Amino acid sequence: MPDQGLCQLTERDKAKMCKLLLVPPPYPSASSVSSVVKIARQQNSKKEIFYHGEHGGHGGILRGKSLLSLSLIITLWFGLITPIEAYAQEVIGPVRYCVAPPAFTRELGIRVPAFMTTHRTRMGLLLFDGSKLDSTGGFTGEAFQDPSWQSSGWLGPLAFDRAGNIYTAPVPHVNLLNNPLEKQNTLLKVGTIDRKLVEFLHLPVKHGPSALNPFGIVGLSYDCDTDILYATTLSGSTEQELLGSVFAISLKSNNIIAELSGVDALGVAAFNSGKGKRLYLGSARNSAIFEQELSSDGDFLGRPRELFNFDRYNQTRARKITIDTALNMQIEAVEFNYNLIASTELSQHTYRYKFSRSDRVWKMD
Amino acid sequence: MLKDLSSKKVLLVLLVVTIGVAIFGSWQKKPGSLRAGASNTGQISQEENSALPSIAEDYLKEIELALSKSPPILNLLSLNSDQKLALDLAILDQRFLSFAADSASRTIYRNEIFSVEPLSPGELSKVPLCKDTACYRIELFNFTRNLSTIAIVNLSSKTLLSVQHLPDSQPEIPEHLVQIATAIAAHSPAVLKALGKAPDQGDLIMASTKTALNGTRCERSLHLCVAPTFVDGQRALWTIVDLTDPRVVGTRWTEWGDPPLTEGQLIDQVVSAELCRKDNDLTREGWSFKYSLTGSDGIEVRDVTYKGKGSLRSAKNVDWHVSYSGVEGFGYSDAVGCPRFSTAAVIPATLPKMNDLDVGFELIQGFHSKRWPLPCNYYYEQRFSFYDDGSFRVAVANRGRGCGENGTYRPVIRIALPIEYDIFEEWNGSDWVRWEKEGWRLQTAATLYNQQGFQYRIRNKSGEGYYLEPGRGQFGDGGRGDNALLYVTRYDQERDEGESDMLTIGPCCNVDEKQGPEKFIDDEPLIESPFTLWYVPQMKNDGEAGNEYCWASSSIEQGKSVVREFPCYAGPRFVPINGAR
Repeated sequence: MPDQGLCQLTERDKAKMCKLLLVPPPYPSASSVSSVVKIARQQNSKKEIFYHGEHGGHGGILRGKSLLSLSLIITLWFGLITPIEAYAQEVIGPVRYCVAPPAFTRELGIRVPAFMTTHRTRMGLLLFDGSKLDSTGGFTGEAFQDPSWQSSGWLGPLAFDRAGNIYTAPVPHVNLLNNPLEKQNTLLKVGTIDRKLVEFLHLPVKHGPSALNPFGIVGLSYDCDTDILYATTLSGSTEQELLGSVFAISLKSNNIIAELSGVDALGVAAFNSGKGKRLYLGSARNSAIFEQELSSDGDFLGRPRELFNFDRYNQTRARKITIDTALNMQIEAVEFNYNLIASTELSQHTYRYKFSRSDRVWKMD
Repeated sequence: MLKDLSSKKVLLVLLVVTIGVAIFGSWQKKPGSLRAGASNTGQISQEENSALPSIAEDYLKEIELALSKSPPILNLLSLNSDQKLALDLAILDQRFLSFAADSASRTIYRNEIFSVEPLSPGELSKVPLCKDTACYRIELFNFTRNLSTIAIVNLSSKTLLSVQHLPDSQPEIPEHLVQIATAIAAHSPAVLKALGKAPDQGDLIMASTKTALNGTRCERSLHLCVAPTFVDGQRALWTIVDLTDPRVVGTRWTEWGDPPLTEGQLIDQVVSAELCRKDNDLTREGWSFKYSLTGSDGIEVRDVTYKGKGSLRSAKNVDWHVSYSGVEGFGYSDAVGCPRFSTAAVIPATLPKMNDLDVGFELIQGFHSKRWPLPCNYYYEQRFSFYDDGSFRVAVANRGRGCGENGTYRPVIRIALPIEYDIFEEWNGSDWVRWEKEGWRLQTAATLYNQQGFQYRIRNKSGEGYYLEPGRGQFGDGGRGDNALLYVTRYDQERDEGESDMLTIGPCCNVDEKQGPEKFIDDEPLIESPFTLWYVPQMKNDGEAGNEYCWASSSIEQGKSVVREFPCYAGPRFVPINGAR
């Protein structure tokens, strides 16, 4: 196989112990915004909990089996946040400060709304009370699932926008029975008011998924500054050719505004680096994080460059990248070989990096 | 040779460091490189039973002796008095021994002390109680559980200050294990074959492991593995040695700059290169055929002839449907196939094996989950048997363990006989009755067989062809009967009904004939038309002691994990009409 430098990523999990990580609020705080930042008002605080289970895949009780989307994302909202109104080039910090909980969670009376796409036996999107998580990563009590939430098969990545809309995408888990290949590049949206899951956008990929690579959209990241949703797709990539892409989708116009082709990325996260916007991409082909420069309006500038390699055995791929306001980058990495290996077989590893304000580089934490 | 190794240890270490740094540094610059050219894909060792060098045999005896002690710990030799005191302090403390054995179940684990060393300056600064006194760090490795225990003791106060138990963690190996690993590698037929000679001292560059120099992992077996490397010109032969179950896992030629190679990577690379979507030709004992690993239909055997006469066009394992009766709709629809770029959920554990029989031979391919035989992990097998009388069998097996004792396995086997055999008949108790259109049939207790045990007959107008003999427990492999669904669908070369690699054909949990092949049945006539057979046995598992079936269990014996398998075999035999006895 020829050298394939570029991006990529993946996801999967495995089982065993579960970790519950409390991540500080992802909006820029005074300490995380170095200078020239205008924060209009920040009324309330928000917390996110990311539950990274090692789901027992083919297995254990209350454990999800999954591939690319095994992360269970639980979002706790304590009030509303007024979005930051302006950013300057020197801003340092993550860009998810504005995301809001879906409005329908309030009317459902769920105290701590939590969403997951990786339940072992329940396909689609699930909403449950995040305060009822148990030690295995499952939850007690009833889960809510709108009938439409199962309509697109097994799902993967999750992202939220400032209005509380949810974005997700189909990702096959173990087999393709509920995930037809032709639907793997369809971005899905759950309305913050009507809570219906609908097809939002079809990514115009040049090469569709196939039996050799059944994956389409595998990563999502929302940037509050620009109101852009970034979606990574592995569609059409082969062992010999990197044919995946990253799409920038404006949620103002609901249009694709840019495509970065020739990139196979799993995890994706936008960031204000102090030198401008950056998009971090977890390579699906090796254990590398790539950095893509973005313009202030979210367009791609140039080509991604390799930032660092987090696994000296080159065994795992960054399926999920999260950055908190303390400038910690957490990489959840799993083995990924462009197949549907059950999550029981997948060991998830977590790597942590810290952004150095002085050097403006990421260093292993 | 081992003596020589010891005497040149310093030189060896220097070489290891120098070249290791060069390799690691280079790799860091190009982490994406994964060269896997056909000439450089490595080999998986088949040396499970090969003889070990004397140093390894002696080591096994020491292990056996240690397992008979209490606590069951193999100690380091050549400790000075302070080290001995430190070790004694640790071993006398039950906290240190928490995982050395399981007293409740009287299970003994294999433990070995890897290191007893003074705390490094860096560590000293983190342990206030060691600031002005002698403290030692003791590393104990539990091979059975792949667990490290790290203790810190204070010699002055004679106290154990801290203990950490680290699951799935391996400390750096001690020098004697470096030597044993090196000897196992140097003694290995795989290494001798690859090098074309017995390696000598100068060939060895990196006997150490678990360091940044040239680590490796046995991430599937969860064993402790190391990677001695032998240099040959510009190349280096990377040899993965398993120290938990002493043997060579495999080898691969590497070039400067290649990333470290692990057990799983090696197996996947070799399987991909040697087997995946690549025809292998086999000719023996009158039989001739091609076989390859498909993306998601397991091994496909194609173009089978016996003494020049076509016997089988294609046979493969499209899906495994596993359903659990305890939870409605709970189960899996698994595909077996290529380890990379495929829709396979369960991949080969190694290359296929050839098994000699008194009356023929078998081609066997196993696929299993990484954590098998733990619950909810699976081991599937395909077995193609070719007999001297021209008969053959297409069988599959499950070796457990699944998610519970209420599981039913329904493998979907696609079998295409030569298209000249266009007459399909069923035994009705007194005669063979031809099927005139597509259909399916369930094998039950009431099914009728002819005197020889055949249920169906597939032939051409000249009367040549095969009887189909379903499994009823008569094959001597432990199978308890197939309870099979058999589908016959018209073959049309203009339509792809499974000729190419099939995506998931059916859901996990249907308990009736809706296993997938029925979608190709639409009452098309079978008269003078070739057809395809789909055979779906139904095997119910059993985990009850003494009656296990489609099951596996594991236990710890003498510090080793011992797996007990209870496979359920199923699949039809095809017997030549003219040669049937």
